[in-house]
Amino acid sequence: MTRITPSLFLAALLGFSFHVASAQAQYVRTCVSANGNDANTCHCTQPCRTFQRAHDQTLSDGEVTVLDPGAYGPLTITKSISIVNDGVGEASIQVSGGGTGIIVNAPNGGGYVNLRGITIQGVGFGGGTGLTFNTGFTLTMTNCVVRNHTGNGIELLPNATSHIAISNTLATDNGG
Amino acid sequence: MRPTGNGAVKLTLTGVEAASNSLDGVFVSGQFSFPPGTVDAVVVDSKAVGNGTTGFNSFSTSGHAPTSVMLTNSVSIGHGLAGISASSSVAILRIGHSTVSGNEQTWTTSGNAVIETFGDNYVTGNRTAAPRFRRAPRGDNHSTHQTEKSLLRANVVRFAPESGQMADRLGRSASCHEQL
Repeated sequence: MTRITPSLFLAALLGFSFHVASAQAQYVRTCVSANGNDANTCHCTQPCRTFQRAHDQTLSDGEVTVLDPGAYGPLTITKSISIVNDGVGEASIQVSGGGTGIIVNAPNGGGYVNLRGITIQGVGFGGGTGLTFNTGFTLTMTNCVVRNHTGNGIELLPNATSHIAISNTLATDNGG
Repeated sequence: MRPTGNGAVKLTLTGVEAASNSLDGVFVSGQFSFPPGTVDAVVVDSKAVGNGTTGFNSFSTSGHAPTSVMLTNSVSIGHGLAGISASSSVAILRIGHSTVSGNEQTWTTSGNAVIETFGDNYVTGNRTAAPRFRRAPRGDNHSTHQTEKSLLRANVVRFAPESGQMADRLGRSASCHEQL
């Protein structure tokens, strides 16, 4: 018969509380900063360093806000989300090694993705693709720059009913 | 844009510039999508400049999703193949109040694709003389009919088919291959 020792009980309790804490650590609004750290919660008082970490820490239908200029890394989007750089300087994603800057794999029928003020820049070393939209209901892309990729700049490959709106955006010097 | 499946996919481009890309500036394809799916793009206030092949391309293949591109108040300049293009009998590109200039060809079509004009475009300075646009038919649908009527009323150009010249109200002329 297994005995539950106090230490085992405490470990289980701690594990459970950590699990709850991580679930609660998602926010409606998160932030990224060039001075941020991905060990942070991404709450805007503790910004993260990368878009991916901020995305993962953001609730569906939430938003990621860029606090200052910087390169914030490639990103795979799997939920409804807005990523907003409202004029604080260049918020870039540098793409190399055949990678893709932003991949949108949001839910069909209910995934709403908004991108504003993002630069997706191919930087050599194998190049890649700027943005690939695979799934999602809507994509709006405003005030973005997608340039210097060896593949397509903006690659829209929806497999279900989708509405895509791109405005005030530059796609230039791409291979596709 | 190359959707798959059979959904209705709509693309809106406003104020977009596609420049110096190796292939097409804007490529809209129903080639990998199937009816009842449709692929519809509206392009407004946008530019395609100096891309390797075509500025704006409406592309599909027979039996695949009907594909349309509506191009308004936009520019297609300096392309290695053509300013605008449509391919297959289920693809159409409509163009109004836009400029097509400095391209290798004004436009290309294949597979009984259709390019329609609303008769108020600036088409000049393309390397290869192009055949005339097909005029957007009246009564195509209510909105097209109304749009064309309003364009006709607002039209400030006359066309002299013998000379291939188009002149505005002030008598200024420019080369033009567009049929009004």
